Amino acid sequence: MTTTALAERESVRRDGRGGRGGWAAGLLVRPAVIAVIAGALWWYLHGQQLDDIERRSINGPVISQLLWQHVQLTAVSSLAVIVIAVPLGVLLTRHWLRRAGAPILAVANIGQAIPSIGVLVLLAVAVGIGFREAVFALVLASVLPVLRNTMVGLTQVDRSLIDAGRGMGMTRTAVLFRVELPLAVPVILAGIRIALILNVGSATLATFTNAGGLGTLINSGIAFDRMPVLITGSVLTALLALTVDWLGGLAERILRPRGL
Amino acid sequence: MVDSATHPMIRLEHVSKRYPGTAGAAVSDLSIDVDAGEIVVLVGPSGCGKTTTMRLINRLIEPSGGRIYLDGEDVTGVNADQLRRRVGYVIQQVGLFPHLTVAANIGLIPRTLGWDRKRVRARVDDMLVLVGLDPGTFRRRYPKQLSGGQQQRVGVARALAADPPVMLMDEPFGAIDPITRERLQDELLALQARIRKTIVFVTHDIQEAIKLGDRIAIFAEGGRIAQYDTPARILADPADEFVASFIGSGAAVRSLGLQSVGELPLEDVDVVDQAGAGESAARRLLVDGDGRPARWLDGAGSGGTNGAVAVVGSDASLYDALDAMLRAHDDVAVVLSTEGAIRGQLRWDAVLHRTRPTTSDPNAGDLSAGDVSGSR
Repeated sequence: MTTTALAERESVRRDGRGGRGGWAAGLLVRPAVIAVIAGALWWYLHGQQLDDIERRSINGPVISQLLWQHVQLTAVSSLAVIVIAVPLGVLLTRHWLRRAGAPILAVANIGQAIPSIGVLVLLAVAVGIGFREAVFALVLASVLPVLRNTMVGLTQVDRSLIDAGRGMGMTRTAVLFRVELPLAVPVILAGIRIALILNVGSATLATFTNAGGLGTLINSGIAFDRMPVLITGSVLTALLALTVDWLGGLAERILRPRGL
Repeated sequence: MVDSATHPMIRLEHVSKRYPGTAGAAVSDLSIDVDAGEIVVLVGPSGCGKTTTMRLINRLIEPSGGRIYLDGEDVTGVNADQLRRRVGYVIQQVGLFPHLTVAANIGLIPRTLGWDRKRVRARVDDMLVLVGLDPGTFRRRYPKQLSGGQQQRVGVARALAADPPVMLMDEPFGAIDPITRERLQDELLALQARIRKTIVFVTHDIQEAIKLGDRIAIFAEGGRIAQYDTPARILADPADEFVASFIGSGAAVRSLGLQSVGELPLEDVDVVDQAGAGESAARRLLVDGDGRPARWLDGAGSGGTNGAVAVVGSDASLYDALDAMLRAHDDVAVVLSTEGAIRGQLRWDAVLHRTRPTTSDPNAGDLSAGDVSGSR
C-alpha cells in the first residue's frame, strides 16, 4: 500500500489513457502542417498580379462567405447523418429487426457506389436547387459509412457482455446505453469521421446546385481559366478537410471509453 | 442438506424448454428442488441441457411449460429484470464490462437499485475484501489490467454485490488454468462457509462437481436428470449405466476424498520420547521434544520402513491418508489433531474395509467414460 500501490496506480492511469505523452505530440503536428500550408497559400497569392476577374473571387469577404457556406453545408449534413444513421443502426441491430439489417445494408452498399455528383445532379433535377437540397444530397451520399459502422460497432460487442448484463438484471435499454453503445463508440466515431471528410469533399459540388461553398472558387477558376482562383479553392478545401479530420481524431480520443 | 426452510429456495416444477424447429426438447418435464444454503452442481456432457436449466432459473431462457419458484414465490410470470437482480449471475467468460472500472462493475446493480453513492462505495470495498482483492489496489483498475483469476473474483464480487440469496454460476472456472482453478474452488468453498448462499453451479467436470457440490444433479441427453444426490452416494451407488460411465473409472478412489480421517475409529499409538528406551516386540513411535512424531522404532517382525512416519491431520481426507502411507512405504498413518497432538493411528486395512464398494462394479467402462475424462 506504499510505493508499490502508488506505482500501480500510476500504471493504471497510463494504461487507462494509453500513452498520453505520445498522442499529445501527435496532435500538434496536424495544426502545424495546416498553418504551414495556409501560409504558403497566402505567400503565393501575394506574389501574384491578380487581374479583375481574380480579384472578384480572391478577396476577404467572398472567401470567408464561401468558406462559411462550406462549413455550414458540411456541419449541417454531417449532423443530419448522425441523427439519422446512428438511431437507424441501433434499430437494425435490435434482435427483432436483426433479420432486416443485412438486406438493408446490402442495398445501401449499392447506393454508395453512385458518385456524389450523380446524386447531387439527380436531386437538383428531381427536387430543385438550393442549400437544403444540397444538404439532402450530401446526407444521402454520406449516410452509409455511419450506418454501417454503427451496425458493425454494435454487432461486434462481445455477446457474453450482453448476456452478463441481462443476467445481472439490466434492462435491454440499460444494456444498450451502458454497454453496447459505449463499446461501439470507437467504431461509430470512425464512421462519422469518414462521413465528415466525404462531406467536405462532396460539398464542393454544391456549387452546381447553387448552394455556394468553396466549389464556387474551383468552378470559376476552371470556367474563367484562372489558376490562382482554382488553387485557392482547392487548397482551402483541402485545409478544411485536414482540419475537420483533425477535430474528428481529437473527438475519437476524447470520447473513446477508457479501459479498452 | 439444510433443513431449515419449509420450502426450497429454488424449485423447478415440470419445467420444459422446446425450441421451434428442433425435434427433441432441450429440457423436458424437469423438476428439481434446491434448498437454501446448499451448492447444487448441475453436471453432464455438452448439450445435455444443464446450462439451459440454469438459465431457466433466472429466465434468461423462458420456459415453454412448467413453473419456477424462488423462495416459495412463483416467479414464472414476474418481471424478469427485477427477478434477475435477486439472483447473482457468474459466467465462464466473466463478462466484466471493459469500459468500466472494477468498482463501477461491482456497483452497477446496487446503483440500479437506487443505493446512494456512499453505500455503493462501501459495498464495493466489502465485496473486494470478501473475494480477497485489496480495494485500494483494485477499485480503480480496468478489467483488462487483471489476470483471469482476478477477473473471475471480481465477477463473483459483482454477482454478490446486491446481496442476492441465490447465485447462478455457469462454468465460472472453465477458462482458468488448473492451478488457479483449484485455488478459486477452495476460495469459493471458504466463501460459501461464510455467506451461505444458495448456489447453482454448472460444470462438465465431474471432479469439480464432487469437490464443490453438496448435491449433484447428473444430466443425461435431452435434459433428463439421471441422478440427483450427494457426491458420496453418487460415487458409491450410481443410479444407472449412464451415471456410472459419466463419473468414470476411479469412483471408489475419489470417494476417499469425501471422507475425513476423523470419521474413522483410530487405534492407540505406543509413544516413546527417547530412542532405545527399553526393547519391545511392539512397534513404537518416537516423538521429539515438542511431542511431534519423529520416526518409528521397529520391533521384531515389523516391515522395514526405515522409520519414516506417515502423518496426517484429522481433518485430512482418507485420500490424503492413503497418499501419505504410500509415500512413507508404510501401512499406518499417524493422525494429529488440529493442535498437533497425536490422536491415534489409522491402518490401511481400516480404510480398505471402510470404502468397500456397496454395489456392483461401477466401472462398467465404455467409450463415454473415456470421453468424459478426455474433455477435462
